[in-house]
Amino acid sequence: MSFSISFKESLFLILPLLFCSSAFAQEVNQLESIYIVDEFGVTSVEGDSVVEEIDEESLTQVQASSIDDILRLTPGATTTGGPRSSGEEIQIRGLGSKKLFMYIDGVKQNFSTDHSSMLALDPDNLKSVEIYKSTSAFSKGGSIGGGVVFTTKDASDYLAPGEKFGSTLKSAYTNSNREQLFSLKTYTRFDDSDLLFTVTKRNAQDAILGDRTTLENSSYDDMNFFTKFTTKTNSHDQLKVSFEQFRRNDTVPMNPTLNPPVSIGDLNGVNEITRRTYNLEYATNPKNNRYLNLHSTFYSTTQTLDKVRASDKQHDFRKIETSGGSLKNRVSINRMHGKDLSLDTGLELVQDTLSGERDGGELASYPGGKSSEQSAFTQVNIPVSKSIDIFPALRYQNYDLVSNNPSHAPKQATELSKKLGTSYKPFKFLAFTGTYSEGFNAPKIQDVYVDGLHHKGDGFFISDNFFTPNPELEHETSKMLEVGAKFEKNIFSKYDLLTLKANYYWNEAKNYIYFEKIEGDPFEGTNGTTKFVNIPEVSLKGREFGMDYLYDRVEFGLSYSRNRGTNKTLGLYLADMPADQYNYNFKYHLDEYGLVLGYLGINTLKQDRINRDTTERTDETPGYFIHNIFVTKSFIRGALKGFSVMTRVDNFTNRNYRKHGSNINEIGLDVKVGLSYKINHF
Amino acid sequence: MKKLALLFLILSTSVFADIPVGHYELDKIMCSNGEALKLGGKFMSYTIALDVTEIDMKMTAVAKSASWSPFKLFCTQINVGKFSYIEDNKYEGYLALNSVKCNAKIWEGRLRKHAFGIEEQGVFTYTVVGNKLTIQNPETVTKYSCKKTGSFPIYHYTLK
Repeated sequence: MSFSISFKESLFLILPLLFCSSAFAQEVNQLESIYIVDEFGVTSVEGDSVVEEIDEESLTQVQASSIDDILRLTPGATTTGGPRSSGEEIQIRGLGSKKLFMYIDGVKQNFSTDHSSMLALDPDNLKSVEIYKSTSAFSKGGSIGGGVVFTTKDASDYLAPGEKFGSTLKSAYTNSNREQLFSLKTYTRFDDSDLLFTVTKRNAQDAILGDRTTLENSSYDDMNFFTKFTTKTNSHDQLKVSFEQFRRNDTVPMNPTLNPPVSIGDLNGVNEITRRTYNLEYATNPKNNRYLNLHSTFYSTTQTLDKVRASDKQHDFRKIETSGGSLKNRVSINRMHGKDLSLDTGLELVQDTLSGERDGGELASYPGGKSSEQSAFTQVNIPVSKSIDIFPALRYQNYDLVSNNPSHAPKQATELSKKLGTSYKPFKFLAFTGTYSEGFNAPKIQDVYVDGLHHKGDGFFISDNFFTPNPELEHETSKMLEVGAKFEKNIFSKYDLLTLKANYYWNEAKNYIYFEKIEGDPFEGTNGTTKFVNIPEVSLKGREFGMDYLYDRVEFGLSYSRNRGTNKTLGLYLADMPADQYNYNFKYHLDEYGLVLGYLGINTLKQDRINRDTTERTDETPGYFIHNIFVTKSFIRGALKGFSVMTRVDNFTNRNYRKHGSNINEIGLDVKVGLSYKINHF
Repeated sequence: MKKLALLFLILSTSVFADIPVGHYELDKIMCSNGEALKLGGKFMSYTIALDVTEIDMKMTAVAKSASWSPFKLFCTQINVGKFSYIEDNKYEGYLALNSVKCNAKIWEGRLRKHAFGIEEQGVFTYTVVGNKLTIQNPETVTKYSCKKTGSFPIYHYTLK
C-alpha cells in the first residue's frame, strides 16, 4: 500500500488544527510529556559537565526519522555524511563518532567501518538524548570530546498513574521520501512491574532534495522490535531487562556519503544492517544506606552489515559483537554547607569481537580480532562552601587489541586521565564553572589492522590503492579546558524565566587519529595507500552562547555555536569542522486546546576554512537559513480521546543547501504528518 | 572501378594533406600493438585538447575528479610547441611543457616529473581522414604503459 501527499494537501491538515482547534478545546494531557529522571540512577556524577538534553516532548515534536533530525535541535552537535541516514555520522564540536562515546540504554555502540558509522536505532522509542560536549564525563566511555547517550522509554512512560494496560498505534508520513511509519506499542503495569512491547516499521522511497532532484539509492526499509521489562523488587531496587532487534534493508552506495552514478555497479549494491541487543540494568538506592547508590548495566549487542555489490555480486559481511558491563556507585560521605560530600566510583568493561568475510573468505578491510577496554573512575564532589564546589577525579583506562591474523602483533596501552572541575555560585541565579579534563580514546581494531584493496585505479592517472595496517597507531589523548557561566532568573514576574549561558573551550589533542590516503604514482608504478595515522598535535577551540526565555505559555530560545580545529603539525585546518551556527526556537503552548505551535530556525554561516591545496573532498560550504515549523495536538476527552496529531514542515522555503562535511545536498521541503491513537484497555 | 579510383583519390588527398588548422579533442590513445590506453575511470575524467595553427601546437590536458568522487583533484597541464612539414604526412617539431597547475601541489610535482604528452624535437607521422587526425612518433619520450609491451602511443583526435 502506498499513498502520497502534496504540500497543499498537508496544509489542509495543518490549517484546521491551527484555526479550528477551539472546536476541540480541552486540557492537555500533561502526564504524557512529563519526563521523570531515573531516581535510581547516578544522575549527578557529571555535575560540572556540559550536557544538553533533548527531552521526550522535543523528540515528539521533531518527528525524527534519523539522528540528524534530533541533533538539529542543538548547535554544536550535528551529523555529517549527507541525507542518507545510512551514511550519517554523529559529530560533536567537530569530532566524529569514532572519537566519541555512544550509548543506547547504557549499551556501548562501537560499530563503524571505513564508510559506515550509522547508529542503528529507532528514534520512535527514545525518551531522551543527552549530548556530552566535553571529556569531563568520567563515568562514561573514552573519548576526546564527549558523546551521546540515548535512553529509551519504559512502559511507565506511556501509562498515566492508575492506568494498567494500553496500546498506542501510530502512523506517520514524510513527503520528501514518502516514508511511511507504522508502529504498535503495547504496555502494561502490574504490581511493581511493567512491560513494554513495540514494533515499528518504516518504509521510505528515494528522497527529493532541495533542488527537486531525486537522490537515487536512498530508499530504505526498517523493522524494529523492542521489549523492556521493569520491576521494583522493593522500594529501592529496580531491575530492567530489555531486548531489541533492528533491521534495515537499503540500496545505498558502498559509500553512502557519496553519490556515484547508478551505472557504476561496483560502487553500488544492496545492503542489510542489523542490531540485536540484550540488556540488563540493575539499580539500588536504599534510603538508609548512604554508601550504596548503585547503577549497573550488563549487555550483549551484535551489529552486522551485509553488502552485495551490484556489478559482480561480491558479498561482504561485517560483524561486531560487543559485550560489556558497568558499575557506578555514589557514597554520601557527609553533609557540608547543606550539600553532600560524595564519592562516585565506577568501572566499565567492554569487549568487541570483529569478524569480516568476503565471499566466504577473509575480508581484509574489516579485520577479525578482539578488542577489550577496561576503565575505572573515581570522583569526589566536595562542597567547599555554600557557593563553591570542586570535583577532582581520576580515570584509569587500558585497552588490548588482538588480531586474528598471527602476523599482526597485539597492541596494549594504559592511560591515567585527570580532571578538576569547579563551580562557583555567588548568587542563586548565577553560576560559573571551570573544568580541566583529560580525554582518552583507544584505536579501533579496524584502524590498526585494516588491510587489502581499498579501490582500483584507472590504470592511467590513478593507481590502485591499498589499505595498510599501522601497528604503530597510538591512542588519542586530549587536554580540555572549559569555562562557562549561567544566569537564570525571573525577570518581570514569577511566571517568567530568563536563562543565559556562555561556554568557551580549548581542547588540545595528541595523536589524533586520521584517515590518510596517499595517491600512488602510476608513472612510477607505485600503488596508493590508505591507513590510519596519528596527527601529533591538533587544537580545537570554540564557544557557545544561549539564551532562553519562558513566559507563561511562550518559549523563546537563541543559541550560537562556533568551533575551530587546526592540525598544528601540518598547519592545516581540521577537515569537516562544522560551520558557525545560530538556532532560533519558538514554542507557544495553547494548553487549553492541547496544542503546541513551534518554529525552529537554523542559520548556518559560510564555512570556507578548507584545505584547498590538498585532495580533501570537502568543498567550501555557502551559508543557509532553514525554517521549520510544527504543530502538535493531543485529545484527552470526547470522541477523539486518545488521538494525537503531529504535523511538521521542515525547510518550508525549500532551500537547496548542503551541510559542511557532506558531499550531497540535503532534503528540500519536507512535510511530516503523524497520527497516534492511545487505547487504554483498562 | 571508377568509383574505387575516385575514393582512392579522395582518401589520398586527405591523408597526405597538411593538418587542418583548428581545435582538436583527443578521442583515445592506442598503443601501436593495438591495445587501447584507458583514459578515464570511475573517479577521474580527462579532457585533452590540441590547438593547431600553421606552425604552432598547443596541448591542454585537464584531469578532473568526478563531482561525487571521494577526493578532489583538478589539474591543468599545457604543452606548447612548434612544427614544420617536412614531407607528406610527416612533420618535425616538439611539444614542451609550458605549465602545470593542480589544486594539490604534490600532483604538480608528479606531473612536472612525468608530464603528459610532451615530445622532444623529432619527426612525427600524421594522418588526416575527414575530421579525424592521428599523430605518432615511435621515438616518443612519452610512452605511457605502451612501454611495457615495447610499443608506442598513437593519438587519435577529432576536429571540433
